[in-house]
Amino acid sequence: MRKKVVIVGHFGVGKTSLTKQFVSNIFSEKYLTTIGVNIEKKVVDTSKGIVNMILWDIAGEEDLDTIKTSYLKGANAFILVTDLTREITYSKIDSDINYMQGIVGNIPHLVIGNKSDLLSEDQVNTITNKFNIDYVSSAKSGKNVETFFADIAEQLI
Amino acid sequence: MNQERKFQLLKDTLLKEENNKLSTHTEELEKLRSKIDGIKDQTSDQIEEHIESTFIEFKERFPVEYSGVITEAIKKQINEAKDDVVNALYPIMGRLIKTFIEKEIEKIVESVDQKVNNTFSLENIKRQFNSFFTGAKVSNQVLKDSVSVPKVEQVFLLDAESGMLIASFAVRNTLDEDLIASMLSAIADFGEDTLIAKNENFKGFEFELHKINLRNFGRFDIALVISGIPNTSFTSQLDDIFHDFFEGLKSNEDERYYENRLKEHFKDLI
Repeated sequence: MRKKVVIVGHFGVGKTSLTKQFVSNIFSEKYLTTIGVNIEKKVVDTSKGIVNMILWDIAGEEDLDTIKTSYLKGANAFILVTDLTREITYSKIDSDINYMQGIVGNIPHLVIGNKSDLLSEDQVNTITNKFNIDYVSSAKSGKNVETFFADIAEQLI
Repeated sequence: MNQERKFQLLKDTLLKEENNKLSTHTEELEKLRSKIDGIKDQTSDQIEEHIESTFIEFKERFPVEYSGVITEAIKKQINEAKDDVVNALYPIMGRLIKTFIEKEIEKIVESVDQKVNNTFSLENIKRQFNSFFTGAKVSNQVLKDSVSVPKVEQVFLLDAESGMLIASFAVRNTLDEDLIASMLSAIADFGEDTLIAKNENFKGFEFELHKINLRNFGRFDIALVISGIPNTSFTSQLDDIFHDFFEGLKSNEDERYYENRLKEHFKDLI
């Protein structure tokens, strides 16, 4: 079963690093800078069967509404990545999700607070208590990366 | 004393002072003229030398001093009026390119003729026979045979909206088909959004020795990887196959159905 998962978020939040952590073989990163998207694939074994996740890592912009919507169309799920060290990237989570749902519909999605390794546990808790973040992760240490991708894969079946 | 003489005498008497002044001025003018001629003779060589050296210096300094400014001006002009530049250059460049190609083709034909005449092979004998009966030049037949035959290397059927692979068909497998198919779809989206006017379909692009041909039919996109040089008959055959393939194509079938359909329609081109 093939499923398209788009990974979106502001510029520099760590979308590509998280994808790299999850996908063992990187196809080529050069497309991200040339056409604004990089595509990777990961076969995930879920409790309900195997999912071929085709990950569309969309180049980050200052605002979500400036990314190319043609890359988002037909997505089966989306992952909104934020940077816990920059409030601007997670301060508008609700409106960002609304914007995405306006394009791709009401599909499974997760909100990730990345770069948790740069903050103390208290700082991370303060943010997650206030904002609607599903997982905190670190592309650097690999914290929760497999977990949240496995979660979205389960939701896809 | 007649009237005329009297008149002259009166004129001389009345204008004596003016005549004297005139003579003096004429002499002074003559002196000045000879002085100028003298200066001219003395300085003409020097002036000529100076002009020449200034001109040489100017010629030497001009590229250094002004090449940057001129290059910038030309660049700006080209950027601002590309069409004008193309229009101006096209007649000259077009002729040059045409002449160059004609000359190169002549050279190839000559070289092929020479090789054909010097080669003894079954293929050559066949061509000679063919030439004898049909009148077609042997060199033309050799050229035609040597041009790379167009061939479909791989066919991808994609979901037009998501860019996801539905089915594919190829004689030999390449890299991950899911990734290639999605990348092709993303490139097509990028092409449509940025390179061409709205309401037009992105028809494809070239990548090294391959041509990627993209077609859309409702909810389906189809991408062909073609090697060789597609000629008119190949393109026309392709159009027919596309037409037959999409005619009666069902939606929401399983992968096997689409794979078989691709195989059935494109097998002759692969």
